[in-house]
Amino acid sequence: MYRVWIRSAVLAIILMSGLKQLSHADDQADIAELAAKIKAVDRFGKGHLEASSAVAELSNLPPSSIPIVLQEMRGCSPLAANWFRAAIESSSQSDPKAVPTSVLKDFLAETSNDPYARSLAFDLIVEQTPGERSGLIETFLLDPCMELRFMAVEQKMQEVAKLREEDKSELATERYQILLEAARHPDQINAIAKQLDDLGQPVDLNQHYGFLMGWSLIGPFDNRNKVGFDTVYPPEEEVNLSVELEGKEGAKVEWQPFTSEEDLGVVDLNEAVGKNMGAVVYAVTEFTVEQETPAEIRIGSPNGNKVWVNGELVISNHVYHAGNAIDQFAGAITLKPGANQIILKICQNEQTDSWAQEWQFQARVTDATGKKISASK
Amino acid sequence: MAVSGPRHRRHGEEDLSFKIIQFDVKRLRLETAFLRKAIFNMNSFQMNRTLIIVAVTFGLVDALRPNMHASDWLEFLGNNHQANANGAQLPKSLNQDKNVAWRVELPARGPAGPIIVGNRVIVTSSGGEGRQQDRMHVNCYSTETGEELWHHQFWATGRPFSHPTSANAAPTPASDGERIYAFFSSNDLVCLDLNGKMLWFRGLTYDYPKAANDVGMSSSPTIVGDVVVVQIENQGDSFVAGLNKLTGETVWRQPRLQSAAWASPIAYQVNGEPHVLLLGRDGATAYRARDGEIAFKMEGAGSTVSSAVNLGQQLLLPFDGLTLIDPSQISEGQPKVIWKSERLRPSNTSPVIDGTTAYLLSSRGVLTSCDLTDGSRGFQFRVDGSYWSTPVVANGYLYAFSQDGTAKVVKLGDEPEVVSEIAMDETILASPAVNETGLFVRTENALWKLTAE
Repeated sequence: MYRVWIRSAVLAIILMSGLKQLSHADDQADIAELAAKIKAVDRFGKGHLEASSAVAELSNLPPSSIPIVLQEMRGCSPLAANWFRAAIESSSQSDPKAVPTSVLKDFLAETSNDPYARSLAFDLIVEQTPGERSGLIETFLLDPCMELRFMAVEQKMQEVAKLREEDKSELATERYQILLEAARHPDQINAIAKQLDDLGQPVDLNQHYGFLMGWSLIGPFDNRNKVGFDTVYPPEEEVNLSVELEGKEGAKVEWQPFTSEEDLGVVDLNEAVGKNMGAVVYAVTEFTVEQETPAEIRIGSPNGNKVWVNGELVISNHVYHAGNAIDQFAGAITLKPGANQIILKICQNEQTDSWAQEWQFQARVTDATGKKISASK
Repeated sequence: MAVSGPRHRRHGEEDLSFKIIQFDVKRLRLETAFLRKAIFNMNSFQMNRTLIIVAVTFGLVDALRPNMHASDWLEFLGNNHQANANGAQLPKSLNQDKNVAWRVELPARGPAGPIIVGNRVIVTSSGGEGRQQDRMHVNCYSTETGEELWHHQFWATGRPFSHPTSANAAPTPASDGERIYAFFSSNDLVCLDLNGKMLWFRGLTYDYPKAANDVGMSSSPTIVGDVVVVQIENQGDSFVAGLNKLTGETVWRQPRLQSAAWASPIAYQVNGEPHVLLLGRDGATAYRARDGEIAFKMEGAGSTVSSAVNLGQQLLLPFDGLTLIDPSQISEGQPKVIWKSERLRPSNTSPVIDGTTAYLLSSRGVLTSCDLTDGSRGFQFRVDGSYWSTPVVANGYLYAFSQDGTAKVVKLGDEPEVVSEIAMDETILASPAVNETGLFVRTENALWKLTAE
């Protein structure tokens, strides 16, 4: 009889274990199915009905399911990331103490996981254990998720600022130099460079950012009434630096070499070709690499702009005097081995406001995180 | 903590418990004259009785006491954009120690104003990587205690850039009384229920990548009939869209002038048919809410910042100065213009309505009154300060919040005067919200409730 009880108990444990595993597997399958509906959300409201229902179901899952949902976020679109986020936040808020923070920490530590999912995992952990915030951020200094890295650089900058207050200039300089290499956001890079400058270690920001300083320029072509943005002038069909072309109002224009000496790689076209409202200028340069390289071309300009790399249009913005910042516009490119041709078209309109007189650009080539790619020559 | 609240309805829906103010200047004048005549020859009992009968018969309760029963503040500048809170229990002077009921720190910054739905106050903010402002927050607090009821965050899918003084969280959210529509400069639109459950999320710059203004956008959404209307007016993909308020799917979309604008659309009805009117650099355009068909277009100098006001039968437009129209009377494609004043030009703030008077607060702090019956200018009074926040008026007082963070109470009348002021310590760009118990003021990083003692 005793043996029967033991066998029964063992069998029950095995069955319960199996059932638990089966239930877990079913949960996973269900979650994957719901996640697929959220991932299917696309532009123009596509998939909203199915995704709304999936979010409602995921929101009702216990917080113990959150790590599975986070795994399902892998590769989701920015739109879908927000739908996932809403579901996971609602699940966590239903029973905050049941959020499995230790599992989330493991998930967060794995940098190959989806950056949106990791960022959310961080928020959930900090929500439950605010005291761990600073320690976690400490680990993000070289993180591939730029949102997390930004926080780490920010926290470190505050720490180094205290070193300066304590007159530990040498240590502060050393730490700022490490931060300069880690930082990707222009606001932080510029702030760190200023601190280093104050410490007697000026930073060549043009070199650090990798701004393209040397150009060949031609213009002005006509952009009165904004007609020039869509007009295909000869440099868009062929670049021949030795030919003379017909520019605005029939004037002859020719290519001129120009090297920027401005901070942050700014090419001031009012200076380079002369102030001209309702005008277009083309700028051409070459960027040489030894092997095929995935990259981004990033520009800042307050003017209408187009960018071609190796003949392919990668940036196009018919916008005038509505903001101007480093890396304001970016386009994904693949650099081919050897010389890569970069053409910019910068269009000035005819606004008379004092704040609408700038006609300029700055450009650089980076990896996906914003780190400069250096040309091989 | 869950908070129960009444169900509310909006334009195009029948609701007897929450009557939207109908205001008609011409009718008001006739009815007021009738009342005066009737009152002249009766004793107090007769007078009270007759007043009630006349008021009910002519629907005068709303006209004489605009927004008396408006316990909610469902969108930018309140229902109908009148920025009027007559009947609310508001302080007649301000004192830091006596009138600040509560103050809560917000998770991030922004010039978006709060809205009130029942006993919830909802506000958005944004933060994140430097100027990018790519983390968006929607917070809900108890109107009574300031206790946080829920908080949700989202990532911007559009361009989250703005001038440093503004932020991604610039548009004020809107509500139909059952759902909240939180809109951001990046053209991300989130729909949540009152308990914070997200119903849908739409990235309109994700849909139309050139829909952006890196100076920042701030047009607030409005709910008209069954659609939520967003005005995304900029140099790139410029449009107005009506989205199904339940699903977020596009019901209609119409192109707009490719030029920046920040004014907010205003909902109105003609013969029970919901419409929405938009202002832009090229004029004022009205659309039928159910299908986006253009009802009329007035070409001229529309304001790009100051928004229009719904007076019930009439609309007050910052257009060619200031213009009062009757959108129900269309002739040769144009609405009836009741009057137009080129002398009156709203700047950064929108007109505020109190009975037959509109108040205009200039960006440099000059308060001008306007008689709505004929567009004539009344007093001009220097309040001082720099203003983006539209003031509110209640019970003969005007509450103004300047950019430097000063709150002022102005006693209105033939000779207005600033009766008190307090420093709120932070930049104020947002327009306040009001319910019957107090003023809800959003400073750059905090939400305050100001009450009578």
